Amino acid sequence: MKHNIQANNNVPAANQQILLTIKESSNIINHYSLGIQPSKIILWTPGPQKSIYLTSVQVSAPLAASILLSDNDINFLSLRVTQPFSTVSQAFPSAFKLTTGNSLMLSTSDEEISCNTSGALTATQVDYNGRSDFTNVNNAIGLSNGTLASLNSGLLSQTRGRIVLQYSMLPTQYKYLEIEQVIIKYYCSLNLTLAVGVSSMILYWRPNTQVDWIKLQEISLSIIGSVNYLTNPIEYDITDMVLGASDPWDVINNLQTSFVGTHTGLGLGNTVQLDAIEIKICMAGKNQITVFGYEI
Amino acid sequence: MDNNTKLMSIVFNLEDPIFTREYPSDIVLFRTFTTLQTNTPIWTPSADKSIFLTALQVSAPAPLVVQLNRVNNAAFMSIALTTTLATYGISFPSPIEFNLNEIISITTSVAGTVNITLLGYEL
Repeated sequence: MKHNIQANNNVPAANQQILLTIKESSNIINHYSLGIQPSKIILWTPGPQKSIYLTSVQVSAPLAASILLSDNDINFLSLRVTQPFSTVSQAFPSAFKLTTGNSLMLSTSDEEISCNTSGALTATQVDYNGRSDFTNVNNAIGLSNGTLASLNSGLLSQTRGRIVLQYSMLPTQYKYLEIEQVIIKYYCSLNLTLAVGVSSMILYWRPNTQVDWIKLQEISLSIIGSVNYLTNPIEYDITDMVLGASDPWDVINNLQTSFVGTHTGLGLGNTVQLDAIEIKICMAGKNQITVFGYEI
Repeated sequence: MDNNTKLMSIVFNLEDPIFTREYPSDIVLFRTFTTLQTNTPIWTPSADKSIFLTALQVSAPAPLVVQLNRVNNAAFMSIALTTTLATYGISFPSPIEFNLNEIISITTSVAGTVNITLLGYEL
């Protein structure tokens, strides 16, 4: 240390030019937007006979997840992102050199899955074969709560109608979320006290208003009795259809459901009821990963 | 290591030692935004120069996501700020080198106040 001080003292005295040094810069910036990755995927493969020198890594995610980085198959760094601390980073003052020729790989684990259940924002009745006889249509909005929209059989004419429900359920951070599951839940019932004709309820949905309704199920009764889904709803998993669309979030933003009720028999005492049609969306975070470094 | 140690002692015994200093970050950009930003340029290098980013810091009073973009508005970094993590900073021991004339732009996820500081130099 004594020598060092002496040497340094000489510098100003000798009026020496101080040399500026520039560290090896990181000219490779790789950014990835990835959902759940149960098995290792390749992020970055170096050129032939070259090694990756990793200088910084950074991750942000809307939901909790563990991000595991590895040198080919060998894990070397785990970054855990949690909801309140959704951005983490690690810089290496001494660049981390991966084995020559090896790729930087990534996998995820312990992903948080977040589920939201939404009721309809608006309910409107439209004609079904020329009639719209549902009453208390607005009771079908929101989550299931026991208030019902009803279609009663008529004494003089057949009754029917279609309730169309519209939603507002696009999460604000949807760009950073990945859809894992979409389920429609129909809370409805059909009750016959009079055995005349056929009473039915038909369940539909569609990804947007430009396409035809997709029929999921038709439930009919012609004998006295009831089918009641007011507590345990009829559930349909439409995940594959949503994920099959070119923009799944566009489907979530525009989808509609509808519920048709019909009574073909004349006489009072038969009812079709709808409490709510809920949509449950389960999501995982789309992790945003950036790695910085260079190859030598 | 032994060789290295010997070399060091030779250096310090020289009459005229080599003295080096790391290249300084002589550019500090500070910007504040209050409205939604989409690909707003925040650092345009001088003609035929490259940005070398050595540190950055962002803060916001309300949760939002700050996305930093490079050429063609391609995202290269996404920073999610929350009420618990309202200030985030990272320094790069190895400066991040952008291509010649490549600019850095910013996109925010929602309207809201966000402060951003970028440190670095151009070469």
